[in-house]
Amino acid sequence: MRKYVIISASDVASVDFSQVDETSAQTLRYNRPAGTKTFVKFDGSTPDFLEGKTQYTHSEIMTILATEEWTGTDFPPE
Amino acid sequence: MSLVLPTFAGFAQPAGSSFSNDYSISVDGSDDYLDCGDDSSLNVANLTISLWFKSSGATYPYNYILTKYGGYYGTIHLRYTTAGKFNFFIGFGAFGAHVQSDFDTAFTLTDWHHVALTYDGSHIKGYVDGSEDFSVAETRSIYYTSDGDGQALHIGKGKYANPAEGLIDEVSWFGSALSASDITAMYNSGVPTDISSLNPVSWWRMGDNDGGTGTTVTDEGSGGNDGTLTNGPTFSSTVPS
Repeated sequence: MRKYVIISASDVASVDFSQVDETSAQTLRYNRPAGTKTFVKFDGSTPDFLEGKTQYTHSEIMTILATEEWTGTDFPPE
Repeated sequence: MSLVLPTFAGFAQPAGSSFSNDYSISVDGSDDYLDCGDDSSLNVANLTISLWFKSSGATYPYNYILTKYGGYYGTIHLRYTTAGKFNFFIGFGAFGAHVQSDFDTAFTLTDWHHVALTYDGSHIKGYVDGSEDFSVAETRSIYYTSDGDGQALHIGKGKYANPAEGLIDEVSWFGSALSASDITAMYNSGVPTDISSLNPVSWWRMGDNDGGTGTTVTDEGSGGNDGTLTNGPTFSSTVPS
């Protein structure tokens, strides 16, 4: 089952992108507008650099990502 | 006994053609998408966007099936809402100017639907499942100028947040506004068909012709805008049928 881990922006440099589904540091999605947090996801065993951090299921991370901290308020008009 | 298959106007299936649709891409609504680049071949004056979509969730009020960056808010967005409607946004005329609206009709978006958006210099039209759903007058030029974030086309996400969650298949991009009869023929009673005779600028088959593996989605149109699966979308064998 795919797992999701929120990390600090300052920890991005420690991410081994060969062990997560995200492509690179440049394609990460950050909280908005603060840009202080991001997240990565992985399948299978937990990468060493994510050990000890809270892991979320898909439904859990979607609940978090639906909050204003992650969606921001400067949408294109709706 | 001979078997005669129905044909549709404008669709000349080559003799011996082996068109099949075995794959779509699955995006999980968190951060994954198909990056189709920012080539100017996609900056067309008149436009048709066509795709198939099956939602598996609507976390956000407006969920982005695709976005073309540019302008202030982005140049083109195709979205779906928690109310079961598709929604479009097109930047027109000048920086920040735009037209956006929900489509008229709500659908069960957890079913496969074919959606198309056209602009012919006089009207924006939306089609769902081969039928016209709305038409609004508009005569300005689509505003493609970048605001500094480039002009990339991303399928499965928006410019800022709120990506789509579900399956996306057979995305095509044309440099003309296809006719209602062309759109109806593309819908083909709910089964994707060969659209090569309509000369798409780009046609991302979402795994077909790429074997359903790897991270490249080959552009089968004339534009050569191969897509790159980014942040972990997967190929799915669930397709419109």
